[in-house]
Amino acid sequence: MSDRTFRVPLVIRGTVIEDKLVSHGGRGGGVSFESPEVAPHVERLAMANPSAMADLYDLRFAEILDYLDTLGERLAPAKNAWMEEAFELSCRTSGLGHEILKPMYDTMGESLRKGALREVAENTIGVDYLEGWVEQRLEQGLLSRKRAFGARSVHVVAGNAPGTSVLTVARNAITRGDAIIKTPSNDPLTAAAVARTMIEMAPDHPLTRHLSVAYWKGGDTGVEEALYKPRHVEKIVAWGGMASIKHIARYIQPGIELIALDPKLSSTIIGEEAFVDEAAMASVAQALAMDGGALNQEACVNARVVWVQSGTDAAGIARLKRLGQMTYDAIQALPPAISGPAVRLDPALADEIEALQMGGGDWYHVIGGGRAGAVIVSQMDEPVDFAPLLANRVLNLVPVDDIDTPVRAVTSYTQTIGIYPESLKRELRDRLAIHGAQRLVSLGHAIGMPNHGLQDAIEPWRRMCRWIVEEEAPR
Amino acid sequence: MTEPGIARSVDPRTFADQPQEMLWQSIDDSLAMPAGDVAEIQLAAVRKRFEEMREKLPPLATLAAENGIAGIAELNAAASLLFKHSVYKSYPVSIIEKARFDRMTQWLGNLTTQDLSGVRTDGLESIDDWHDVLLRDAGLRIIHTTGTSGKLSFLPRGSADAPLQLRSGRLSQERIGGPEPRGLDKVPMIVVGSRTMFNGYGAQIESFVKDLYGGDESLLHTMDRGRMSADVLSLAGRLAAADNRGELGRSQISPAILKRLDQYVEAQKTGPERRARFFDTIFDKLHGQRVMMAGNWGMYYEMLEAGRQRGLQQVFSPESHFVCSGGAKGKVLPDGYREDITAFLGIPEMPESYGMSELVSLMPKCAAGNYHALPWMLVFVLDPHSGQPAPRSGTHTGRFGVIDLAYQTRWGGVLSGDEVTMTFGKCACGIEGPHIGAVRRYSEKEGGDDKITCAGAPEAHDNALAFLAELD
Repeated sequence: MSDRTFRVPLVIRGTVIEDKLVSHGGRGGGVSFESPEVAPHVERLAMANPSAMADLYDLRFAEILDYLDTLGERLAPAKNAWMEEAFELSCRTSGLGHEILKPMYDTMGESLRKGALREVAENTIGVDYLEGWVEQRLEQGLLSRKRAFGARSVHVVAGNAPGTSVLTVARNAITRGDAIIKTPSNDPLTAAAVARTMIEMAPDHPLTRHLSVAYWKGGDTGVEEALYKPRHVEKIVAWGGMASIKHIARYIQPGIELIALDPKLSSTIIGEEAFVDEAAMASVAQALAMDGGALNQEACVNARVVWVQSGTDAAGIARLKRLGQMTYDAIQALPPAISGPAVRLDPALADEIEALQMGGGDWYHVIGGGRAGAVIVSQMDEPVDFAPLLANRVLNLVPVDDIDTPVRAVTSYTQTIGIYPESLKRELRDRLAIHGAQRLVSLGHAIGMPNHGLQDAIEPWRRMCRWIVEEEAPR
Repeated sequence: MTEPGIARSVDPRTFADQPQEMLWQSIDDSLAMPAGDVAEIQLAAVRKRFEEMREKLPPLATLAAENGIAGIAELNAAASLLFKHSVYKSYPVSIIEKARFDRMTQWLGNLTTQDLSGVRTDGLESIDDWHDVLLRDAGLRIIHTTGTSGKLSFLPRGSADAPLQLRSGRLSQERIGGPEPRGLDKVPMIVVGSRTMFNGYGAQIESFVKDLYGGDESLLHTMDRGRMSADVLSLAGRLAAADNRGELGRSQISPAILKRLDQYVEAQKTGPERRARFFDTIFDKLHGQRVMMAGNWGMYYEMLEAGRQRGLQQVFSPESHFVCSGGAKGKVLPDGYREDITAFLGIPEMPESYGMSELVSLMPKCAAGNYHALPWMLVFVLDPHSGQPAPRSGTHTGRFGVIDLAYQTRWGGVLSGDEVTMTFGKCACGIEGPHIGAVRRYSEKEGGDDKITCAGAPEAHDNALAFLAELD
C-alpha cells in the first residue's frame, strides 16, 4: 500500500474540529495520521456542568432506538465516505485483514437495530428504569424508587475490534450518557466516522450533542490532568488492560469509577464423547476450527488452549493427533470472510513454535506452522509454556485423562470457555464459574456477543448508569 | 613453563579442518587474514562441521531437511542453518518442577555431541544439582542464559570445547593493534558476581582459576563466595507459568523453592549496598594495581559512584584490563559517562566488544568504532521478514546471524534478536572483513505505542522479580 497520511478529526458534541494538526504514528507497522491538538480544547471537551445532560431526558426510549436504528443504516462504507476511510485505515493496522474487515464494516450498523438494542436494554437494565422511577416496597413499609440515569464518561476503546466504537455509541445513547471516546492509534477513525454520521444525520439532536471523539496519546498530561477530574468525569470505561490503565490509574480517586474491560484469554474443554465415532470427531474439529480461527484468533473470545479428554496414553495421544490434523485442515478451509492467514506474524511466537519443531519433539507435535497457523499437540497433560502468546491461528491441544485437570487450570483471566458436549457444560458450569471463568458457550459458538448484556463477569450496560434512589418513609 | 592461554604458533593449513585453531593467533593476525582466504576456510569448515554434526544433532537434521539443505553450496546457503535461541529452551518448565532430569538430559543430548549416557540423574532435585552432575559424569558444562520471562536456556559446552574458554577470555583483553597481554597469571580478577555460576561469566571464572591461576584462588575477587543458583533465576518464569495454569500450576512449585525465592528477593533488595561494599573492598585491596575485569557500562558506572563517594580517581593501574560488552543494560547514564568511567578507573580508554553467550568469543571494537568479526565467525545479515541473507559485499541492515565454527561439540549456528548494520569490506580502520557499525535489539512490539487490544494475557508485574532481568 502506498504511504498515505490520514486525517483524524476532533469531534466535540456536534462540532468537527480539524485545524492545528499534529502528526502521529508512522512507526513500523502503524499508520501516520494528523489530528488536532486536543489540549487547547480540553475546557470544551470536559463537561463541567452536569445540568447540560438535561436535554437527554426529553427523549423517550423509543426515540433513542429510532435514532440509533437510522444511524445504523447509514454506516455501510458503500454509502459513507467516513466509514470507508476508517475501513481503509483498519486494513493497514489490523490483524484481521481486508477479507474479514470488509464484511465487518459492511454490517457494523446491524448492532444498532432496534430489536437487538431493545432486547439488551431490557435484559440488562430494564427499560422501565431508564424511563422513570420504579417503585418497590421494602420491609417496614419503606418505599424506594429507582431510576437509571446517564453518566459523563470517557471510553478508552480497543483498536483491534472496530465494533467496540459502535457498541460504545449505543451504550452511551441508551443509558443517556455523555461520552468522550478516546481512540487508540490503531483505530482512530471508526468512532470519528460514526460521530460525523450522527452530525450529518441530526446535528442538533441531544444524542449527537452528547458524543465526543478525540485522539490524544495516552499519558498526555496536558489533556488528562484537566479531563480526569471527578467534576468532569464520573466513569472511565477502559478496554485494553495495563496499556490503557497505566496512564489512567493515577487519576482514579473517589468520584471516578473505573470499569475495566481488560484483556482476557479463553479456554476450551472437550469431553471424551468427541471420539465416539468419526462423525463426532469431524464435527468437533469443525466447531473447534471456528472457535480458534474466526477473526484470525485476534479476539479475547477465541480458543487457544484446548483441553481434550482423549487420554494421555499412546492411544490417546494418537487420537488427539488425528483430531489435531482434522482441526488444522478445517481451519484452512474456513471462508475468507471469517478467517485467513496471519496478516502479521508475531516473531516471538514464531520462534517458540520453530524451537518446538527443532528441539521439543519429545513433548510436542506440531502440525502446520507459519502464516497458515498451527495446531500444537501436547504429548502430556501440559499446555506449552508460551500459551499466553498463542495467536495467528495457533491452537494447543492438551490431552487429559481426568476432566478435573482443565477445571483446575481456569483462572480469573479465563473469559470464554467453549465446551463439548452440552451435558459437560451443564456438569462443569458451577465449578468453572467458581474458578473464575466468565462465559461458558457451546463449542463452535465462542465468537459473538449476544444480547444478554454480560461481559467479563460484569454488566457494563448497567454499570454505565448512575443508579439513583428516591426513598419515601412510611407515614 | 609458558603462561597458560597465550598465543602459540599455528599452521594455517589446519584451519579448514580445525577452525578452532584460529583462536590461538593474536587478534591482529586473525584480522589480517585476507578476506578471500577467510571465505575459503569458512566454507570448508562449515561443511565439515555440518557433516559431522547433522546426524548427531536431530534439530540440525530437521532444520536442514525443512530448508532442503543437502550440502552447502556457498557461504550464504548456510544462513538457513541458524538455530533460533529458543531451541535451547524448548523444554516444558514443568519437567523441571517434576524433577525429571532424566528427560532433561535426554533433551540436552539432542543438542550436543558429548556422550551423556553416563549421567546419573536419580535423586536430583534442582537445576543446580543437574548442572553439577552433567559436569561430573559427562564433562559437560552448562552455560545458561536468562530471558526476561525467566525461562532458562541451556547451552551445552562439551569437554572438547573447554580449552577454548581461557583462550577466548584472553582474546577479549587483547586490543586491536596492541601487544598480547602478558603476565596475566599474576593479575587479580574482579568479578561482580558469585564464585560459582553456570553462565558464560562463570565458565570464564572457572577457566581462569583452573587453567590460568593453576587453582590458586587468592587472585580471584568475587562479590559472593557462594553459588548463584539457576533455580532461583528460573523462578520468575516458573511462577508466571504457574499463574497461567491456575491452581494446577501453583500446586506444582515446590515449597522449598518458594522459600528460597523470599531469601533471594531480600538479597536483591540489598544488591546495590552489597555491590557498593564490594567495590569499597576492591578499592582498598587493589588500589593502584593492574587488574582484570569484565562488565558493562551500567556496572562500571555503579563502581564510579561508589568510588566518587570516597573522592577516588584513577583507581587502578593504566595497564589494567577492563572489557565492556552488553551496553548499559537498560540504564540511562548521564552525558560523558564513558570519559568519567575511564578517568575513574585510570585507563586510557575502555575496550568494547559485541557478542552473545552462544559465541565462544566476542567481536572487538576498532579505532573507527566498528565491531570486527573474527575469522572463525561466519556472519550473516538476514532480512527480518523473509530470512534471506544479504549479499556478502557492501553494507546491509538486518538481523544478525552467525555460525561459530570454533565449537566442536555443539552446532554454532544462531540467529540473534539484534538488528545490525554490517559491512562486508574494508573498514575505515584499515582492516578488511565483515564489521558491524550499529546494533539495536529488535523490539517485540511493532510501532504505535498507543495501540490498545482487548485480547491477551495479564502482564507479570511482580516487582520483586524485576531484578532478574538485570542479571546475566
